[in-house]
Amino acid sequence: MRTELLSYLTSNLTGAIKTSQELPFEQGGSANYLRNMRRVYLDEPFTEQDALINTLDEASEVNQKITYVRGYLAVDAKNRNADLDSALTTMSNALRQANITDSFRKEFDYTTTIDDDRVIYEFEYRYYQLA
Amino acid sequence: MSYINASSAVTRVKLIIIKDADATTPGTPVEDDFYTAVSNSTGAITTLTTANGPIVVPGLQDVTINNANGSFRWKQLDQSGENVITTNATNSLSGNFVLDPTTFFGTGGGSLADDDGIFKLSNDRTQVAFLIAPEGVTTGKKLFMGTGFISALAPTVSADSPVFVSPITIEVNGDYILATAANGA
Repeated sequence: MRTELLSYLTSNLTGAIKTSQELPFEQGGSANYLRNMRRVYLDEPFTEQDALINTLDEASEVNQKITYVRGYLAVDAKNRNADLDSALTTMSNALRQANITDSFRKEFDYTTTIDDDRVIYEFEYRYYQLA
Repeated sequence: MSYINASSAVTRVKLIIIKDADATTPGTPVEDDFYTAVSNSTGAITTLTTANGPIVVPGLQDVTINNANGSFRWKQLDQSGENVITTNATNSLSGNFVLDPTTFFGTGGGSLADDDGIFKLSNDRTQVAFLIAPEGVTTGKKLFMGTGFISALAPTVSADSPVFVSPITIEVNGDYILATAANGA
């Protein structure tokens, strides 16, 4: 799912805010999205599985798999980036327009934090599939 | 006090349906009409009575065994409280289950219960014989059997719950037959 999301974001983030193909690794105690501002970093997906419909016999239980893809973007806190709004819209649109078709529920949200002179957007895509 | 534990593999609730006409004695089904061998160690039915085409209803979410006696009340001038006697009971089994295409639509190719499937048994208003085991079918466990008609099917799917589930009711014809499981080994 990271591949599909990254493909969509790379094609559609064409302003000052772009994507990075790298994972959000740390170097020297500092995350690369803090060093490379205005770059969207997508982390490796991780999943969890739980019961969607409980039944009296375990064998018939219907399970769901939730795949999470987290991402990071740091921008200047002092001077708001001109295409920040459109970039956030593109990231939101990626939830449904990236080529991911076999999930029955899709969710996207983000939080912001201030770190010195940077605003850090931490966003998360969640895809629910039958398991 | 003890309780009826339906949470382990050995003691899971089982609901089995055949056509009443296929029972050895229609109207009074017995355990052998549904299965003839059970593993007491695992609780699994090892030999179904395939000649009767039993459907072991899969994906049960909940089951309710209804035994609602009617009542007749009257007052007497010489008593301060009403008198009551019970009248005929309304018996039914109800629950919800996840639809399995094989058991819901049947396998076709014959005229047994598993050939017809749950939906056809309901749609054709075929009288069925049922066995419900509240605590599994290992030796010594109690069984409810009886005959009746399947009704209240209402398969439902939604965006948040994208597999079909349905309520099911077996309107019981007459009394329950209470028995003790004896086919375990």
